[in-house]
Amino acid sequence: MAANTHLPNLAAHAPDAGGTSRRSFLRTSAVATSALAALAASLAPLRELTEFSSVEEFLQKHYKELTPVELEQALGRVRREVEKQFGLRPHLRDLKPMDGVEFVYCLNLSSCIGCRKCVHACVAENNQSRSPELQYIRVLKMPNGTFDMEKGDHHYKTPTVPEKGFFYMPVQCHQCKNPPCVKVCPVDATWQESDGITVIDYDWCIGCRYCEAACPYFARRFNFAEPSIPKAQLNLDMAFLGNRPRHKGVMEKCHFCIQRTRAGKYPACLEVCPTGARKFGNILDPTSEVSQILRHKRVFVLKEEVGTLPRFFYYFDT
Amino acid sequence: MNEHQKSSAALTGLTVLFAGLALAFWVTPRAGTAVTHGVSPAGSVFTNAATVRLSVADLTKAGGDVSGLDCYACHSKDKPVAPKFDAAGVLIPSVAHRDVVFSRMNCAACHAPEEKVELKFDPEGKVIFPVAHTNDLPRHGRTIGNDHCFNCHDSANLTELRTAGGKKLKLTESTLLCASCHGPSYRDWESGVHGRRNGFWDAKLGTNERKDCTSCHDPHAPALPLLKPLPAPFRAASKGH
Repeated sequence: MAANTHLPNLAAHAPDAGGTSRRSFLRTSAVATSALAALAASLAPLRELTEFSSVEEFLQKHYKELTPVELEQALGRVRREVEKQFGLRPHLRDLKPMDGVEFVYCLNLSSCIGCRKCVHACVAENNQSRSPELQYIRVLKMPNGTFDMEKGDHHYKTPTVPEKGFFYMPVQCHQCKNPPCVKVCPVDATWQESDGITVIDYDWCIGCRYCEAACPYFARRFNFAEPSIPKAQLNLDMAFLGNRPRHKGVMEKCHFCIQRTRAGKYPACLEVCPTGARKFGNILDPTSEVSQILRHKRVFVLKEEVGTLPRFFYYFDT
Repeated sequence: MNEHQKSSAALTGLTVLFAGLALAFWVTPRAGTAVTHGVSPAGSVFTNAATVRLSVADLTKAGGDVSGLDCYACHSKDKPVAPKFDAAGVLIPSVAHRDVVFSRMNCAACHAPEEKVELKFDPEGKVIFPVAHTNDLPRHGRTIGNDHCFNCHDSANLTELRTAGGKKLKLTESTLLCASCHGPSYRDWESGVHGRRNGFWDAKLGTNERKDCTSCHDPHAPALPLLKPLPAPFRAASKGH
């Protein structure tokens, strides 16, 4: 009897004790489904990441660890990406430093007239983003008689240059021999090459901007937004560590036009300078222009006291 | 509250949370906070490596039309220029040329041959310059005595140059004429320190092209002209700091 009365009780309590009623199953699954749908919707922005982060790029090793085969694969991937984005096949190369070459830049402040041709030639050569605007060179208009950088203005809009009572000082990456930007990089995405150029592995950079903060010359630029370059203005002569298009979230800076200078040409900023204020060359060659300047002119470096040992020299000379 | 109610409540809470997140992503503009603006103009004007002027030498080398630069468009070939000198041997400029050097002008391009050009003089007897000829006023060391055409030009043959030392030079060799006075600049130009170099820094890989003095400096007004600067960097509207 006791057993008989107990059994129906067990059966009546079965849904609560171990089984599932139809109603609660439906309710639970409806809630779970909508929860998963909401989770998926909230993660939807992640889908956009696939636009610029392929599996290949994700698995790509640091530039210095790439074998020749892997490097060729990486070059192929970038070529495909550029072609997909712009519909143009780039002439992309990986140019290595030349033996017995160390680059030095000299700039004659007496000759510079502040016309900003270098700034825009640089943008055109190095595929910088046009919107938002990103430029490697800033031309400071400085009042005569001071080197107080805070008195410099790089937004001057005078109808003609040079203006009386001012001198113009272009500032770009100084390719320091003791570069603070390289020291602070937590992932070794930027380093100094044997010809003195400090380069960036754009695929390795995590965008922490430590290097930007460390640079005393404000030479490094960050891509806060996806760069945009009109197709017609894309420079197809590209170098892997140089002017290939960059993505949002990475640093970039002047690299002495690697794609030109490691092929023996002058950088773009020098090429267009109307006054010949800019001089570039191999300091290890005693007959080069820069060797002559360093030997015969009174050169100085910017912010010497911070100990960066720049390879960019300024001088005054008629 | 039993187990089922607890898990239902947790799931509902999560649903609301994720739905809220999805909604937040949906309504937030994806452009981010970076400043975007119109694309600045670019093109050949920004990358043009041309010099600020075109010299006779460059034009001749390039095989261009130099007929407009013919000295003998005004001067007769049969009648050589006869400079007059004062007792001290200093050139007396002709009245018509007292203030003017027709550096790049073919007079006949504007003036008809039979046209009578009347000169106006100021009280000191100097020619008052017509606006059209402003660029022809020589501004090359005028104040320090370099006001004689024949300091540089050969008076016997206007298509040639002559240094103060008497060395005759072609118009395309003007750099050597400049060197006869501007020694240090010439020394620096020779080593590549002064003036422009284009092309290849490594002569093993390509030509290192060097520009002449007159590619940048007008020999009659050597100071570089004022230039219009290219656009300033874009500056976002000030947000109170």
